[in-house]
Amino acid sequence: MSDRDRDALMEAALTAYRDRDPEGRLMPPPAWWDLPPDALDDLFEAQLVARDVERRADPAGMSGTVRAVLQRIRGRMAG
Amino acid sequence: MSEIDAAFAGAREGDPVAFTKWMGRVERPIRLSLRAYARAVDVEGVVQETLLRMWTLAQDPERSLTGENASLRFAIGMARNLARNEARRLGRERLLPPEDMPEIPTPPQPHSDPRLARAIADCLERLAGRPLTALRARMQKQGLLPDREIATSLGMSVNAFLQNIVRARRQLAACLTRLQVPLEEILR
Repeated sequence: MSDRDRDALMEAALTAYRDRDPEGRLMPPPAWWDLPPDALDDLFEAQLVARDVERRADPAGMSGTVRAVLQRIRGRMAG
Repeated sequence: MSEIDAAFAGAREGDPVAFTKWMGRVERPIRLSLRAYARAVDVEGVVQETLLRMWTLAQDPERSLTGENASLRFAIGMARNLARNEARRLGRERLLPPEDMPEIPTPPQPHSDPRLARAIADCLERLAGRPLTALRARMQKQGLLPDREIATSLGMSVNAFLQNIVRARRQLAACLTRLQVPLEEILR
């Protein structure tokens, strides 16, 4: 795997967006399955930095993770 | 009462704003508690599921948590249980850490350092072109939309969108280093 392909896979897995399976469980993104174990360690560190940057850059102090969860909660409350 | 306990008490009243504040204080320590599970499970998914279940728990008047930062301690235990169950479901239990792995204390999220926030804002402003467009769109919409939809809305292919974000992150890291704010400082 080239560095460019690895970077793109890592970035695709880094997003806070998660699909759900028919039972309602959050599914790992397809790119996550393609990453070797050492890249999953790197992904963990990259997500930690990314969420911190999001939290500090957001006027409301929300990371992508918090936004995603809040969206689910609002969906439940509306439904 | 700690800030975490106060926010969780508000969440128990059904207040999503209080719960959002609580999530902002506990997301990072919950995530950190899952470092050893990164090879076995999708940590992002486990963090989100833990937060959702904590909202459900907060709405249950029968459940009570006692002690300082009890909600954070409970959430960390829940996250690790979810991670173990998820690893088994995905057939990746061989990648789990040992059951008797010693617990590493995870302090609550530190208060935001205005100097760091300013440096990040400055460096984001210095990004330009499509890397800036891609990173900003991802940061604003990732909780709601998959990358393919964000990329399409920007007139980019998914691959170009991802490569632009990679470039943006590199530029952001280089800028923070120039401002003497290395990424390690963000992670402290």
